[in-house]
Amino acid sequence: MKVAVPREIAPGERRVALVPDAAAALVKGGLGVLVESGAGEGAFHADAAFEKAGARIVPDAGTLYAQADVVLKVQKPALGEVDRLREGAVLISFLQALTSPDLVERLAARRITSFGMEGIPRISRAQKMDALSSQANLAGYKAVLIAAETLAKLFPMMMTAAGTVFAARVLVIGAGVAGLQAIATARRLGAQVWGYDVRAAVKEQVASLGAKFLEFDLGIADAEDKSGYAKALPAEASRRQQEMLAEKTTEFDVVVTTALVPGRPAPRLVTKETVAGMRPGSVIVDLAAEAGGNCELTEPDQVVVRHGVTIHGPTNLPATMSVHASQLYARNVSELVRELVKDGALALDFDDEVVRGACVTHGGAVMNDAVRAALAARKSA
Amino acid sequence: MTTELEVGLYIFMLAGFLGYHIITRVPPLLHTPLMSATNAIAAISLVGSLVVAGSDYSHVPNGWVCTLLGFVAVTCSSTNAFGGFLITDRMLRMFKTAEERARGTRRPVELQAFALVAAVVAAVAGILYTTRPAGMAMGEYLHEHVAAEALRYCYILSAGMFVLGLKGLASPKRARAGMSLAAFGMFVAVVGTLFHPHIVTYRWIGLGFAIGAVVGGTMGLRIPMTAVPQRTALSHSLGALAACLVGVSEYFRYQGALDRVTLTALDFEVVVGGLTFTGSLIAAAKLQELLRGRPITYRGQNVLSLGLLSVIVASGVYLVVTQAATAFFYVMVGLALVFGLLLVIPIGAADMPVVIALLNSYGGLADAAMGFVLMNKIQIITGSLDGTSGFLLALFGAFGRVSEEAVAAAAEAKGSVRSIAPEETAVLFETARNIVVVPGYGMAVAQAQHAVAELGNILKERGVDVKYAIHPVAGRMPGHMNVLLAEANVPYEQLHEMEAINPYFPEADIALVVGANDVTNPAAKSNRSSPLYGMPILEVDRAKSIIVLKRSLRPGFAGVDNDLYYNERCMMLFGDAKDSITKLISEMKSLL
Repeated sequence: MKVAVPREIAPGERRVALVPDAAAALVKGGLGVLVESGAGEGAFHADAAFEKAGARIVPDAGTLYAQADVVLKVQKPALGEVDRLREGAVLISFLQALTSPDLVERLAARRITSFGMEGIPRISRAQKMDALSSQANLAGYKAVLIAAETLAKLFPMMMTAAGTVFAARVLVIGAGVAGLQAIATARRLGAQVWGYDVRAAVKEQVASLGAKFLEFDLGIADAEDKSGYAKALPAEASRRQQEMLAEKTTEFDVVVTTALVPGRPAPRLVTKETVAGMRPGSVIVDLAAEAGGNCELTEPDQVVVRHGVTIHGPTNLPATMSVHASQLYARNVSELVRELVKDGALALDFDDEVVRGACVTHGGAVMNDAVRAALAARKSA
Repeated sequence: MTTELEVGLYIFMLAGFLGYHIITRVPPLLHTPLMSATNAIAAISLVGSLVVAGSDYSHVPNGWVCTLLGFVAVTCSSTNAFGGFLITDRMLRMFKTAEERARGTRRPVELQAFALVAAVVAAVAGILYTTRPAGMAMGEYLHEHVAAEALRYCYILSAGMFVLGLKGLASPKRARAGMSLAAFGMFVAVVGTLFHPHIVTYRWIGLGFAIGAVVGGTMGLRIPMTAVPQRTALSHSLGALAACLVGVSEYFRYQGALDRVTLTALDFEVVVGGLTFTGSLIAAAKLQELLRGRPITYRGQNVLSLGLLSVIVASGVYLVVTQAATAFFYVMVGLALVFGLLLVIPIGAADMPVVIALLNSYGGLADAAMGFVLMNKIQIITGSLDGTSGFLLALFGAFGRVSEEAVAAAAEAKGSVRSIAPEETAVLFETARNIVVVPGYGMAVAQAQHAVAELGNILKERGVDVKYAIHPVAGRMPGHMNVLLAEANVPYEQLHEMEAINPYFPEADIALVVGANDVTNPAAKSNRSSPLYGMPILEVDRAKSIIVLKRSLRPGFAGVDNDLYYNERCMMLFGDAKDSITKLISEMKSLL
């Protein structure tokens, strides 16, 4: 069975789905590994390193796809890439399946067995495959560095002969993996940090990193779904949340937003009025830019200055840390491959929670309930 | 001039404060033993019952009624005393200390207690013998001259022992010794009372005692730990019944011709005693699943209950005003019994632990009221202690402390969980050469990273090899432990990932688990039905000894019980991780 790693073609993507160490582990497990020449370049892994790990270098994508049984990718494939896959091949990648109906239909049409890394369930056993977490973790870290770099102030407090500089006040909205890492990083840089999340259970987690929790009463019980992700709020609660957040947000120098609801546009938490109310010189880093942004003025992949506030809308921060991002992602996909391939052949068990969660298409059909529902909703609309 | 009533009230109030301070120091782990201990101590109502059962009623019309009521009260109270102390001791035996484990035996608490009893009895006998006036018979001397005097001192002595006994419950180490002391206190009070000048016959007392010893002893020794809540409820009901009956007997004896203060206390005693009796019976029945566990509600519930309560209060006031024998008294007792039923019936079985604690408090108050009726100070003291502890336990229960019954039940079902105190832990660390620290989310929540790092540094200075084992999914975000340990300046070289540290565990003298749970659960390796099955874990269970710092036996993120805690090499250091380590460090420093 041949596992193939093409070069990522999305602009700005510097990660690679497999690093030499991970490739060596798969080879040791009895799989053949093919790597497109130059695939590891963005993550500083030369072809020679892959060869040393036991992989075979293939000169171009065409040759690679023609031989591949299993294709490992980072970014969701372009439709053209799907067309190059052999019929019946396996694809493991981020797919954004809930919001990419055309891609899902094409994968089904070409009878690809596809796995979306975003569908790995959040259960103890599957944590080693949880690529959303491994990548969000890096994004949270980098978001704070960008904020620190942009802010025309210091993060830590300093009492000096020339007077006292007060610590920057940082608010992190959405305390998922990215949010928690942002909190931890901002704390380590010396800022005063507050966290906020609609899920009440997260308060303890924010406190466990030594930060404070911003609290206000939304008049609802809790907004956590059974797998630990946030649910969309009812309209009234959503309006109150916006009002109260708006009032608080203006007190901060740095606001990092990470609020995402799976398969839906990101919740609007920072309106343009709120931005106008913030102190000039403040910085917003919006990690939800790709899903429409938590801030109304965010522009994806742009840095804009509105009312004196600098707003970053990065959509692919993990790619800026391609070495470690690739290392962690490679571990995630390798673990999934190990789950799926038994004795050199694909062994799919649709009773397994991991397979059921991550498998999007198989044998021409859409296997995932949530994705099927999303497709049906689009058809009827 | 200070009246007896004032003295009584002062005692009641001070005992309440004392109870508050002692009981807030009892760790949640020991709340269940605490409840049965106060329950057992509250059986001091026995002394009141003894006097009632043994008094001379030859001048009272139908005096046999009083004797009968007293006899029933003695039976109930002695059942409580025997049952309560025995079961408390059984519970406390589940907590073994390291020293006992090391020697493979328990400390012979019973022997020590027996030696103490023998010594005191001998001393008292000696003093009596030497002070006896020449020519007077020993029996006459005791009954005529010593009894009344000695009784007072007996009571003071036992009150002291009760307080010290409860204080012992502040640590699992001293709990059993404390309870032996309290049981001895009970013994002293009861024996002293047997010489009470009012007691003329021992026939009914002896019979009541015998029945109580058999019933209470059987209960205390045979009842499974899982049925402890029911037993506690049943025992509250017996205690309350005794209080109620003693009150009725007193009323019957004097036909209401008592002063207003006594009458007020007596009203309170029979009403609270009566409603606690029936309420506790219902609670026990619900827990034993004789009654449906879910709340039973009906229309007009509140109106009926309030109506009933106001009739009871009105009758009570009327009785106090008239100071005469009237049937109203018995109506009031009857209504109190009905009120107790109505009070507990609408409450679901899940809330029963809180109800039981509250009934415990009522039972205590009834006892204290009995103390005021008979002007018996020790009953005022224990009633007040019991009332406070029940009330506090109800508060703790209501605010979601661990369900101790569940813990005790789990411990019974799976073998014992050993608890260890910081002092003992410090001794263990003295001899260790290799230590692996396993931090988890609990360390983060307690913000104990600095304390952990300080402990690590101290051990390092003493030449101990300290390693930190970091599970890949410890905490609630990737790298959670790294962030915290870095903040506390733990050097990176001391941090080891799971694959690297697992082969090292068998060499570790101590694996110190600081708030990690699921990532150490051996069920992940061995139990196919566990939701954790297949997750790689830190193989803490292979270390030579394991010390787990944990707030309670509550399960972790995955919601499953951790088999590690029932491992025979595992000891639990209960409490907030930061507090525990801080205490451990100061103990280690004091050992130097």
